[in-house]
Amino acid sequence: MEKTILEMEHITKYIYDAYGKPIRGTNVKILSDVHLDVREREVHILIGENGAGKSTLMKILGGIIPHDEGTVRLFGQEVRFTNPRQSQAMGVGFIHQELDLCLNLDVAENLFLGQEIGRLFSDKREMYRQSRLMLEKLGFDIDPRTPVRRLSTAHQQMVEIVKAVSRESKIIIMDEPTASLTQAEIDHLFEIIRNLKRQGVSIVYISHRFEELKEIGDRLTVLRDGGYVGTIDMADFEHGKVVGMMVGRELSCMYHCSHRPEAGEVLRVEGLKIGPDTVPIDLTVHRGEVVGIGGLVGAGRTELAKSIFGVRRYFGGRIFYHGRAVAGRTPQQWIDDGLMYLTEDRKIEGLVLPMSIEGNITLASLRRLFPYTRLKPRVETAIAREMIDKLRIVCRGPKQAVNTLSGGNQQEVVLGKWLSAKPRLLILDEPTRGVDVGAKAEIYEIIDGLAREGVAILMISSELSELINMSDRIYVMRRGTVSAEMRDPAAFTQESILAHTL
Amino acid sequence: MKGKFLNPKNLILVGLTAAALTTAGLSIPQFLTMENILNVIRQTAIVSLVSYGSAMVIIVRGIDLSVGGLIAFCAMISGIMMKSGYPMVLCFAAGILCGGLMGLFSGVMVEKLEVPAFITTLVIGQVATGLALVLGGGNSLGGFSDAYVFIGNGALLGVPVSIYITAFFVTLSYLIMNRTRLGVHIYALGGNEQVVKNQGVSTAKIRYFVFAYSGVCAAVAGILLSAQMNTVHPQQGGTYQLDAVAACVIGGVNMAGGEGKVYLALAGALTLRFLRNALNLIGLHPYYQNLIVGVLLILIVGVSMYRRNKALEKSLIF
Amino acid sequence: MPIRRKISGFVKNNGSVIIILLLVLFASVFVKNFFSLRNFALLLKQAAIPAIACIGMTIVLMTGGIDLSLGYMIGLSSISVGLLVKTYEVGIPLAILLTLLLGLLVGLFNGVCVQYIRVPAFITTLGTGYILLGVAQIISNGASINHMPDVFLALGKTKIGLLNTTVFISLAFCLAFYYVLHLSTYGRSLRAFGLSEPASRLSGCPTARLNVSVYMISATLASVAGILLTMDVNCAQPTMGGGDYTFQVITGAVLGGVSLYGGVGSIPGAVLGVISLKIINNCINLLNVPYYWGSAVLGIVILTAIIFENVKNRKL
Repeated sequence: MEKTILEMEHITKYIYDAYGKPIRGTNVKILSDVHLDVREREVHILIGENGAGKSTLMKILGGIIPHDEGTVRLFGQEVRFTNPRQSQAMGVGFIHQELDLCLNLDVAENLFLGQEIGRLFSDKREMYRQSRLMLEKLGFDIDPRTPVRRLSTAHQQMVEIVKAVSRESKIIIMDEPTASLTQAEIDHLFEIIRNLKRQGVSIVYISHRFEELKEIGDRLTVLRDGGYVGTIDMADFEHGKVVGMMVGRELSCMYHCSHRPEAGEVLRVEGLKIGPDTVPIDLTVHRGEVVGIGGLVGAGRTELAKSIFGVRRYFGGRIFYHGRAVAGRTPQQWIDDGLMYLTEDRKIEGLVLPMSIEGNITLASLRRLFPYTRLKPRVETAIAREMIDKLRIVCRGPKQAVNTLSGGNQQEVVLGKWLSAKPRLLILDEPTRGVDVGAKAEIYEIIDGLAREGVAILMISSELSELINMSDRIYVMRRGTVSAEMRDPAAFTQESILAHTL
Repeated sequence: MKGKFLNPKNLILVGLTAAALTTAGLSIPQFLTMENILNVIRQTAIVSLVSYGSAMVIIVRGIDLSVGGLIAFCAMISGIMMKSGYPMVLCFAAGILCGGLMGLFSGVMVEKLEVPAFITTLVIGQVATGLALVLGGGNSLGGFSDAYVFIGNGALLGVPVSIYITAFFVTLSYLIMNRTRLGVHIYALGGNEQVVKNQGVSTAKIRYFVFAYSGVCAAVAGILLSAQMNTVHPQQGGTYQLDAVAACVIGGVNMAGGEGKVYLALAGALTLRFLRNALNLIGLHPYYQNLIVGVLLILIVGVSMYRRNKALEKSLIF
Repeated sequence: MPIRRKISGFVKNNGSVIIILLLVLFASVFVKNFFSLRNFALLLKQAAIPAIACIGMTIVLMTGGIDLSLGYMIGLSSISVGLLVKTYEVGIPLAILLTLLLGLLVGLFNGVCVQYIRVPAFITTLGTGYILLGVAQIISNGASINHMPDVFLALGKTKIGLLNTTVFISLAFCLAFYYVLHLSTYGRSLRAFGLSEPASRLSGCPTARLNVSVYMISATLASVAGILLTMDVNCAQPTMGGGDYTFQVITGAVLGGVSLYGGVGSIPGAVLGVISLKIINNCINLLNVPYYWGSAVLGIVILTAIIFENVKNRKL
């Protein structure tokens, strides 16, 4: 057996405030008692649902954020990184999920950023020469003088890989490297990974695509809700078992599905193009119906929702609301008319974090509640209290600032905001992202309850079990358009949905 | 940041400037006289000196609104020291050092306290103006030595000394931005701060340098201005504030950061000074000049922002 | 711990009150003639007009923007009301109305540039500032207009007790904008917008209109300040206000605890900030410090305030 080169034990990370100071007083943790050990020459898969803490764990290893508790041992030496340079010096390379390149610089400048050759004046010719060599060595046909801005996303990703490899890293972290690659490019990437393994490099590989994992991985560690679930050899890989580890003991009562779709059509979209060259989208949502939208991240689901909601430009097509054609509406007009959108990005787009619970809950219904512009604090507090009770939000009171709440409670505040605005159609974008299991069940109950009251629900989700158990119909999206509509709830299976997403 | 000097955009700029100069030359008799041109070049030296530093600050997504104050303050320091009989070189060094320190202070505020650059530099500018007033007792200082006046208005080998100074600084700035690792880091910081941090490069050092350099540039400009005028006025920074930003903007330095050439700021300064000069010569009151420069500033930034937004919209994946 | 937290919470929320109390205390002890009713009346009179301008600035700062043209708008409205009343002999109410309308339009221009063309606020308003100065000088030929009609002056200078009408007008504006910022849906939306633009937009706040409206409010209040200043000095000048005035107003807002990052600020705070500033000025005068110390002190005061604010937010 190869020797273990990295051990991370009992890693705990608390939520932190705007200045990076950990807030220890709460029981809200981003990571709690997580383990990870990586051996020499292995591809170690890190898997878990969104918000499970994979990226945070890797950021700790990469020196981008420090851990609060626990130990990290690299090559037998205990380390606590406070900046990325330290971890780089110890041989950790990081290929980020968001591209980690300066678009305004050229390829060579990006490759050598922070490690330029030459003392006072940098030796550009040498850097271009070496860049060309490195690119050629990995089989990439890219001119090192090209500004990165002009490269396609796949090419940018290649530059990232070259950057990590060129720094003579012993461990390379790859955070969803295949998200924007074509099959041929993925094959190329795997070839490179195998090459790296032969050269003695270990790789921590984060991905959601099971078929990839089987092809490339040696061992696999599962995280769930910021906690450690277990590590298995890929020899023991079983699809169902890993899914089970990822979602946990699935309580049968987790999903409530007591609503019945009604006849009235609430929203109809005809020929909507979310990009200049995408295939037009048609879809309908009825009263009391939960319509799921599946597909991979980047398939255009959020773009579709934002196009409908009037916060993003679309490229042709018509939207009918309650049978009437509508065009060019602003979020404000939509909200007045009962169409609302719960965003996928809770912290930036969903909540005004420094504001109180009641401020957030009434934010969307200010005009309806106070038509004469005068705020009535009592009314506000009453509504907030009602929502806190109804949604079982755990808090000290309606005046508490939402940035001190846990993820699940924050999401319930967002739901409370939309519920108090009296929705007729609610678009939910990843409603249970980063939410613990208990809160998830509550959110499902709320969604079901809304549908029972006749509210139409359009639910975007990456969690297949959520889509399968909650939806009456499912649209699957791929490359900016709807690739399939599935009408029969009995036929919803993970495989059938996945077949349309890839 | 790469791209040939003679790309279409720059050619258009050069062409327009040439056309404007020719028109002005043909229609205004005094415009193309040697005396007038030298005069404009001397004035350009001041604006362009300030704009090299300002351009760098804008490239790291900041703005330096303290240069107006520093032009007065640093000149006042060196002026007072000269009056007290210290050697000229020492006086210059002291003035420039003060400029650098004030700039450095702005950099620290922006980096460590995360105060927006426009506020920080506005405040530092105010402090500098205030100190200039206090040091000079509310009055201006005049009657300096011949050597000092020579630096302002004299010529070596037929070329005004001011030109040597601005040429030195444009070369220095060019070398920093295009030949050193620091230059790449400056562009990188303007492009994507997180990337720079992830590479383990200290963003603090880059910011400190850029703001301090801007302070130094303003100090040199202030001292040179006083040499040209043979006086130090506590509010001599006035219009240079606007002109420095406008010169950068005309020279194509992007307000959104990460892009722009320091030497094009020189072209911008030149254009701006010739414009002001032409307006002067056709007898337009100075009142109109600030107005026109203000309109120009908003117009150019507006157009570039508008185009940037269009490009962003196009680059959406779908 | 709870007591410490209470104290720190109080300091955090009432910084401007503490500053002004400390200032009054020190000034009363160390500065002769400070602690008198007459001096306090004088302070209020001096603070009245900048307070109006500061309300406008506070509202712009709430969005995370800034209005550097504010001081120049004061100059332009001063000369505009002067010209309209004296040179064109327009009726006084109409002259005031037209001047306010001018402010509204300038604000609209600023707002449109910032919101729709996405020119950064400090560039837009720096540019418009110079444009306004230019226009003011051109229409007045650089000359000031003296001896305004008595009726016009009476609007601002009539004494009611120890104070003149300007103070009461200012108070009216403070109360009105206290309602707008603290008790109305507009203020709530503005706060949400300043704290998080995307979240407030997606919650249906009319962010575009909000962002334009703040510049309109700021420029219109600057016009009000310009008109009142003209009454106060009995002279319409194109160079009235200017960059220094803008700076003073920003300093007042910052002293009053208005955050430069947007979303945090209060009208009482801003007004107390302006009064604090005037107390400092007042002490400088009473201590016979030369006038030219003024701007250096102002700069150092705001610098200290910004650093204090920052340290306070981090440590408490």
